[in-house]
Amino acid sequence: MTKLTQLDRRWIFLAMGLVVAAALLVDLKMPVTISQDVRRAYDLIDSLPAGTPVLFSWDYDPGSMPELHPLADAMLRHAMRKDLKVVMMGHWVTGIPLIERQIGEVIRKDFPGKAYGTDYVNLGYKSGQYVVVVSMAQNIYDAFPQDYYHNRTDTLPLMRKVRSLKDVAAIVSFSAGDPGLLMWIQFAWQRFRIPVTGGCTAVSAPEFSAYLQSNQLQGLMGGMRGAAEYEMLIGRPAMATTGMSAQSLGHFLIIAFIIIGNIAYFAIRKREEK
Amino acid sequence: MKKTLPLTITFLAGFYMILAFFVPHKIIAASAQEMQSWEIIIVAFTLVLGIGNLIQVHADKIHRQKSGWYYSLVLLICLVSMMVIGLFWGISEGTVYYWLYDNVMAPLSAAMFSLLAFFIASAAYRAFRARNKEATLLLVAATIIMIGRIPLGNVIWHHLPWLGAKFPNALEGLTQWIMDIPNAAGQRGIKIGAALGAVSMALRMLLGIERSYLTTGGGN
Amino acid sequence: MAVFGTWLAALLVLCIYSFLYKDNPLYKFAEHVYVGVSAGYFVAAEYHNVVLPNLLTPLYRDFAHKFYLIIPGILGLMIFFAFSRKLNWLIRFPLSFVVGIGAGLTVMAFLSADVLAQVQATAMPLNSLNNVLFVGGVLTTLVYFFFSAQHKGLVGGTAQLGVWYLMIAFGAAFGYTVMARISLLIGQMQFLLGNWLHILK
Repeated sequence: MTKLTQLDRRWIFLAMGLVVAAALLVDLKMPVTISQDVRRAYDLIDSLPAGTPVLFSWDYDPGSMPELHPLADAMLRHAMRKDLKVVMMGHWVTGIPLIERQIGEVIRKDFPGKAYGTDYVNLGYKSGQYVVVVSMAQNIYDAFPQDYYHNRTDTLPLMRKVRSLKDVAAIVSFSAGDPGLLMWIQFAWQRFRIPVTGGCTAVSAPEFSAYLQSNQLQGLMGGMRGAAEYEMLIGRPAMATTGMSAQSLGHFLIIAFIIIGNIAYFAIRKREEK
Repeated sequence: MKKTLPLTITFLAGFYMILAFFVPHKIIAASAQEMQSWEIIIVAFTLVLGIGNLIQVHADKIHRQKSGWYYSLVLLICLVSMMVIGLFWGISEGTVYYWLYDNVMAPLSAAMFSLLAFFIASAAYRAFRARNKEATLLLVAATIIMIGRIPLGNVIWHHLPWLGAKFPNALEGLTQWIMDIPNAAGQRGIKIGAALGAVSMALRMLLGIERSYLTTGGGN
Repeated sequence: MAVFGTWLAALLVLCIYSFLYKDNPLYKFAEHVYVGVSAGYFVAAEYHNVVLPNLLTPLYRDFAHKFYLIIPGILGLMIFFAFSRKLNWLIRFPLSFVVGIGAGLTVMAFLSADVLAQVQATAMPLNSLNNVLFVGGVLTTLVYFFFSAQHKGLVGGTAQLGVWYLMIAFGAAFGYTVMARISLLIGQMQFLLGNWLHILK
């Protein structure tokens, strides 16, 4: 038993890597059920009439891509299908090019009819976190005099309609921490009553339960699983859905590790007590 | 001058923001807005400050030929190249900067973070023990969540004899219940406590009781 | 160029993963490349996203109406006095402005979103077991965090109940953390097996 507790951790690493790789290669198809929190977020976007402006905020960087990129993909696709007008921005300086990547992967590839400036705008990034949010609620042109491509913001047709944050019907944040979803709740919803929804990394999902219960947050996708549910809702299973079998086996491996670790722990404790 | 003036600036700027929250007058809103625009600009400079420190530390390492100085050289070469390429040739799609982001910075960042999957597996094996009542409660809740939030957990549940057929949604229901009731209640307790702490800290700063930020640059 | 990029990315990922065997020069090299590239990225991104559009372009295009932007510009540049031994106290002026605005906005946001709204949402009718459990959970957790009274007798018992709620919350957090970490590994494997080696369906 002592040997078991002193197992070289590299064996654990190897087991983890192999299980995830094998699960991806085999890709068992498993049904993903939809939770109420994801349904709520979907319904919010789905209920908006065509032409309504919404704000999407990429509040993450490459470190959290596997969790949030598929989600942003699914929600952006949903918004494009519904013909919503999407104003894009981000609060994480290290994640700004991800907006362009997603524009390429979703809009230019599958919605080539959508025009920049009319159907969507990329405002890019500003330092200042919540100060930017409060400033945008007064006048967007002050915080963002130019878009990401250095066009004057007030010359873009979509931005002539969206003069302040109060002109968007919903804020969608893809959030890997702070600044992110919580900041949007505290400053955009609480102060200006603009509905906030979105997704977060699974790590921060539990903390948002308190805001879901109080209706300060209109639905939530937690991590890759949340993204897989959204992919189901829009009828386009993609990266997150294919990751679900690996996710499942990974969890079972961790549970197996916990069980083995505890068996060894209790056996040693019993022996020591004797 | 060195102490009183900065404290006065903090006090006035902070209370002006609070005033703007309560008094939606045009002039106050417009001036508060202008102050916020200034802050956005100043914060950009403060963020770059850390880079200066990074350069200092690694330049010193190279200068003194400390062990592993050649890694510092790699770091500085990468830093200067990326900065110069970005500053002079732009940052949007199609530029070298974007390509380097896409093929060097993003994969490295994602790989670094994904190492955590291996370490959490090792931690689960070595440290996650049901030592007492509290730890057992934590372990049980974690296990239910881990099984309940994955498709395979529900597939297995549905195939359990009797239980699966009689209560097909029990596992998902229990998982959601843990999230919505005990977890949300505990989280709310934490949130309220933390928020009161944050508010008192902010007020201490505004009133000049908390001055640690003034120690940046000479101390007091 | 795209293929070369994928290969470069994959090799760098493998350099990072070599750390799982043991710390080695390949890992150290990749780590320093990462820090260097990120820092360089940062400067150019701040310049193109903030300094140029919010400060330099307005000053250049419309100096007559925007001349006052010189003030935040000077305050911003004062940050660099941090590197001067004699004049580093000057950095306090821009910092005090930033701290003041931040603190002023934080006070109202936290009070209204995390205290008032959260307390308000807890005031629910105690007409179901779930509601009783929820309200009980919030109150007992708060009692646990109340350190002005000794945790003995009734207070101690209530605080203990609060600890159990917290343990369930931490358990949920741990479960979700496992989920997050495995997702990150899945993302990397999808890249290595899919984009690089093309052996994923």
